Amino acid sequence: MAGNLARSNGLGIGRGAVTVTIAVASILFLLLPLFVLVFYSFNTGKVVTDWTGFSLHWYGDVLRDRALLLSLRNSLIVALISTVVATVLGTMAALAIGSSRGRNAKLLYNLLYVPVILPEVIFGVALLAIFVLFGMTLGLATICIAHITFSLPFVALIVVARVQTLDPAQAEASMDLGATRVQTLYRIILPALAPAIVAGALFAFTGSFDDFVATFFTAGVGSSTMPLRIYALLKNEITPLLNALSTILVGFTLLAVAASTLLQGGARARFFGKCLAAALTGVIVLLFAFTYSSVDNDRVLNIWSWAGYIAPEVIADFEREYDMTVTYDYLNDNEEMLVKMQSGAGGYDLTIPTGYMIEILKREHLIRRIGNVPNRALLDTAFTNLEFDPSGEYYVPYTYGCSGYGYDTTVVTTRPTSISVLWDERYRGRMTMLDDVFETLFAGYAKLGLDWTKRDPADLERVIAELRRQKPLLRKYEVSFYKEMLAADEIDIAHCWNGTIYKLNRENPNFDFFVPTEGALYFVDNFAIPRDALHPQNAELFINFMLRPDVAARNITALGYAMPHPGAIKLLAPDVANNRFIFVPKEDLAHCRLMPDFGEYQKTLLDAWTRLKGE
Amino acid sequence: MLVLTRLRKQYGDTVAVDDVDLTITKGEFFCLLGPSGCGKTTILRMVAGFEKPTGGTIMLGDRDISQLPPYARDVNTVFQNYALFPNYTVRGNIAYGPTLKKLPAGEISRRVDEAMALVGLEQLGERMPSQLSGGQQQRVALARALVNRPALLLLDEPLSALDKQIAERTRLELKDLQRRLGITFVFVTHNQVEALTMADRIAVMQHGRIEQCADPAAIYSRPTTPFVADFIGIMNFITGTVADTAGGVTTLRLADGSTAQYREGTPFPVGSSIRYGIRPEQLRVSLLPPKDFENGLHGTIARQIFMGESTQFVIALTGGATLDVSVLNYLIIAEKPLGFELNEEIYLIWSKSSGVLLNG
Amino acid sequence: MANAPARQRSGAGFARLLLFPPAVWMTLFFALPLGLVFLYSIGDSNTYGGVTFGCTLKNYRAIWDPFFLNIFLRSLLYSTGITVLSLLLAMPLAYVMACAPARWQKVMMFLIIIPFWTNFLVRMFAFIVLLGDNGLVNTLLTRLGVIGEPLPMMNSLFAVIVGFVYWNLPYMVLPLYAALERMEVAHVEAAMDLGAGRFTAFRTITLPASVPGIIAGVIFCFIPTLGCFVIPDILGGPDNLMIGNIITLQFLQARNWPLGSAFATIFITLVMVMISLGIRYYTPANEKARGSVL
Repeated sequence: MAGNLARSNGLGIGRGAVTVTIAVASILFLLLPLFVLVFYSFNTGKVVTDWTGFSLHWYGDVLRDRALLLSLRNSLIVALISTVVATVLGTMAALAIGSSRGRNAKLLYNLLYVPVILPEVIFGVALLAIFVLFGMTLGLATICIAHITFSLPFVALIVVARVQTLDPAQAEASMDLGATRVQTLYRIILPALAPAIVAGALFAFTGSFDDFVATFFTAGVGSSTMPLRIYALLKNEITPLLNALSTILVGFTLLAVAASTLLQGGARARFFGKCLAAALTGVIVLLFAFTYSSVDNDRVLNIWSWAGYIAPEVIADFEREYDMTVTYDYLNDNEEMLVKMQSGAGGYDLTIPTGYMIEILKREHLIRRIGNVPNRALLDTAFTNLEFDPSGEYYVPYTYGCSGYGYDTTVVTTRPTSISVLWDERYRGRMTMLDDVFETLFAGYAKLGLDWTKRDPADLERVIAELRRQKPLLRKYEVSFYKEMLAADEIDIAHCWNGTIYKLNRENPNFDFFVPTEGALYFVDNFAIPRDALHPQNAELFINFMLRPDVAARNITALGYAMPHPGAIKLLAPDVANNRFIFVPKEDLAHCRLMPDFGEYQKTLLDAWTRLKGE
Repeated sequence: MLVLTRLRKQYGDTVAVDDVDLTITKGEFFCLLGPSGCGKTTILRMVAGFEKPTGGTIMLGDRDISQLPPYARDVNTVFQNYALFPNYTVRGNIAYGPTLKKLPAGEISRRVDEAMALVGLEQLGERMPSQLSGGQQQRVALARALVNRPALLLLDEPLSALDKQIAERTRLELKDLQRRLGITFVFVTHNQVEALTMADRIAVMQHGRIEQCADPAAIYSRPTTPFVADFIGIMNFITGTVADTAGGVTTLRLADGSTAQYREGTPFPVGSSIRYGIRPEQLRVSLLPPKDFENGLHGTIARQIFMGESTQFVIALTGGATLDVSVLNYLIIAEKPLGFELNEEIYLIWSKSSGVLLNG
Repeated sequence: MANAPARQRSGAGFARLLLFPPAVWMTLFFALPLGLVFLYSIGDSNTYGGVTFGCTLKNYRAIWDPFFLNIFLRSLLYSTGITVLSLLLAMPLAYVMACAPARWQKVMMFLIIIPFWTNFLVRMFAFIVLLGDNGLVNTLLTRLGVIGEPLPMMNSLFAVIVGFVYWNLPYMVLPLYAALERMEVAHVEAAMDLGAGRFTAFRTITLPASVPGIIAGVIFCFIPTLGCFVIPDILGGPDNLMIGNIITLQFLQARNWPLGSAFATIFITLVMVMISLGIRYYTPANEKARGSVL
């Protein structure tokens, strides 16, 4: 049957110049991003739009990144398991549905479409809710369940189409010749369905391998898959490391396809095919061996925090010194943490929420007192009893910083001091505000000189009006990639946090940062130990380690985040200690406020913000 | 051997097979003949086990098999479109049954070779079904079924997909094969020629019932119902009434007032109206009157259709009816078959032992 | 096929047995969760995101608001346009593919599928490199002298459309190809034999034959486009929010699961309606006159 239309070559059907041109253009369009990715994976520099020379060092970085490889392994495990199960169950469903003619079969067939096209957010949230209801621990198993559930209908739909074209006489002939139903299934029906089953399995595999949203809601301790890791990495910064990783995966796929093509060829081709297949299998085995670790359950610490928020070498030192295995899963969002911790998705020993979230977590009894951390005494006392937990028992301050505005000094030549520069027509389309309800609303309040703690509806209305006036001037609301946009000269001013400009300034000294005199928000990110932590003592040990002056100093130097730790600051090299992007000057900080927890009022703010964005 | 008792199959309100009783003896080549939708395939599928009867029993030997699954029956089928397994070679297809029976490898191989030799496929063992011609596929289907040495072989219109010539050759081969192996064949077809040439006995079916079950000659020459008479071959009908039945000879008064006699006996009492059925080739056209063992009617030649080996005459009887006559062209005079002219007055003559009397 | 008007399924029991495990699975991990979503949608949210069960329609009333309706209409409009555009691009591709020699069909299929092996987010970021003010497209056009200054393509409706079409194209091509590939060339030949030109033959024969593929493709593109939040997030500007973003916002920022669930419930209903409409006007040709393989 294959390629029926293809027999019509003589008529030249489907060979028209316009048609072929569109088709070729479409394929190129599909491949273009891939070319870009592969090309820039060999770039020396970090800025993705700038070619600075050929280098393979990003590939080295991929191979050295054990956590990334671990996530790759997790993705492979999940993809394999979910593909096998989804293919088996999907084929069963397809056989049952495809071979019946009743109304029920038709209904079931239609229902198969629902999971395929339902937005994954809805599915992910719903599934998380049900896992909580069942009391299941989030991890690889729950991810697998999620993936199986969305892959199963896909497989079934593909296989059903094939089942419907099968000749029922085949199955009858088989049973007539003495085969039972099960034997007939294995010997006749499944071989006939094989192409469709393989296609379905391939879809299931790629779907699972690339899934982000459903995984996001169902992942737990140590089960980060590659897309989750990539997402968290991207939130931190866009790095050619990911291009290298993508190139490796595409290359691997190409080789696998080549191997399977060779295996169908002649004897010589089959030999090379076998060699290639063996080599590829070897690579996977190596990956598994490399990421394998035998773990003593008591010598474990599971950290859940932002990508790139603790220096890897510091963690390695800790592991060595205390003979412990640290798992560092990436956190994407304070609210994600709240959702998952409320769901009882415990298992993490240490997390680093922002101040206002400490207050919420404490009120909801989701974090516990932090006891045995002697080095706490070394911290700046201005940070140890902050308004979100005056007792100071539930948190240990880690880093702090503030929001402000990064700008390109070659465009904005006079250093601004006022927030009103963000309303300046001259920079129309060249500015971003943070895609964050509190930061941007606060900027509005600051611009108008209003106090948001008064919760006055009239004030809020004025603020929204002011921001609405600003909206047409903005490129977009952006919370993750303003750094890259600044670096690529896509924008000139970005509402951002100080740490970003520290990194940017190191690469290109033309970027500067200012805190407006009208005020900004400052943040303190803190160590906190979840109520359900399995190894709270290890977490305390780690916090104490992090607060050792020498360790803290190394960490600050490596990351460029300020810690309220006078003892550590003394140990820093002068260019770090005096860097105004790391340690925001006191007079600037004086304009800054901490974000309060608004409780129920937050909904009002969010609603206003949603409407502003959606208009 | 195979005994069907009050076998019935209903799909909702539609009756496909209506209380059929049938006995097929061992070693017989039995044919189920009928038009589409008459229930013949349904019977076959029930015997094979693909359909569950609504009522009645199917006995194979002394075993009731009507509730057994297909794989537990000592019955094999040759399917209409052969249903060869595309993922197996010819050999693999044929070895399918023996392999499932877990016979020793040597035994399987020996039997498969034997079966392939039986149908003349020795050279094609490693081909895939898609590489075979229709006739070859049909042979594979046959070998695949026969290799299991079933007590009963069911054939579902196996020749309908073949070219006419191959089908004709295969008919003879099938018959030979059946005789040599001594296996009981049940053959389903809508093609009367296939049935008449191959079968030992034929059951003609209509509307889920068996109309007549007899050997081919009897079915042809003495059909017991108008349907059978009409379905097989061409039959002329002359209407009349029974005038006398004395001495085993039935005297008939025909519609045009003339009389005819029938010497083969009849169940019809005097006075009943009947139809006298007679085949075109049993009639003869003559200028001479009939002899005393013959019936004769007067008529004119209304039409002549030259058909090569024979000529078909349409005769208009004096009474107004027309009859078809088929005569071999043993003589052609001056380009005219048998020398007859159109509209020539003739006698239509047939033996008093020919034909059949049916209810009017 | 003589006398089998509605062949009884002697394998019906076996089919039911096969259906059992997947049915149980989908009930546990799909139907049940969606039921919970519905329960949430008539419940009430706590300050910090917990849900109190109840029976209130206030979340649905909250959606009945010109603001949300406006976004919804805008999303429908975008989604329709994007689906049509994807179809217009996918049709020639699927057609050329179905008409190509078997070898080329395989190669083209492979080329269409290969992007799936790269992370979706990473691919989306490649568009920043392509479409930015100093991106490859602008640089190329400027160097060639086509344009004087860079076209503002990024963070606009244009970029969102490009991203969505890119995302949808394979999902549109594959079902179209599947439908065309099954087509009998004899029908096209017959049309041409009867005097139809190339285009007429396509319009009267090929296009109707690909309707099942078109319907499947439209279903696969239209609704996911409506629900996707990542693409407008990355490629869009401040004005390109879609309904998917609003739903996500309710779950991930506003801690308002009931409102999000109400959106979700409406969405699921929409999905069901779309599918039943799609299926109603399309019955697979081979659905009739077939027996059971089990």
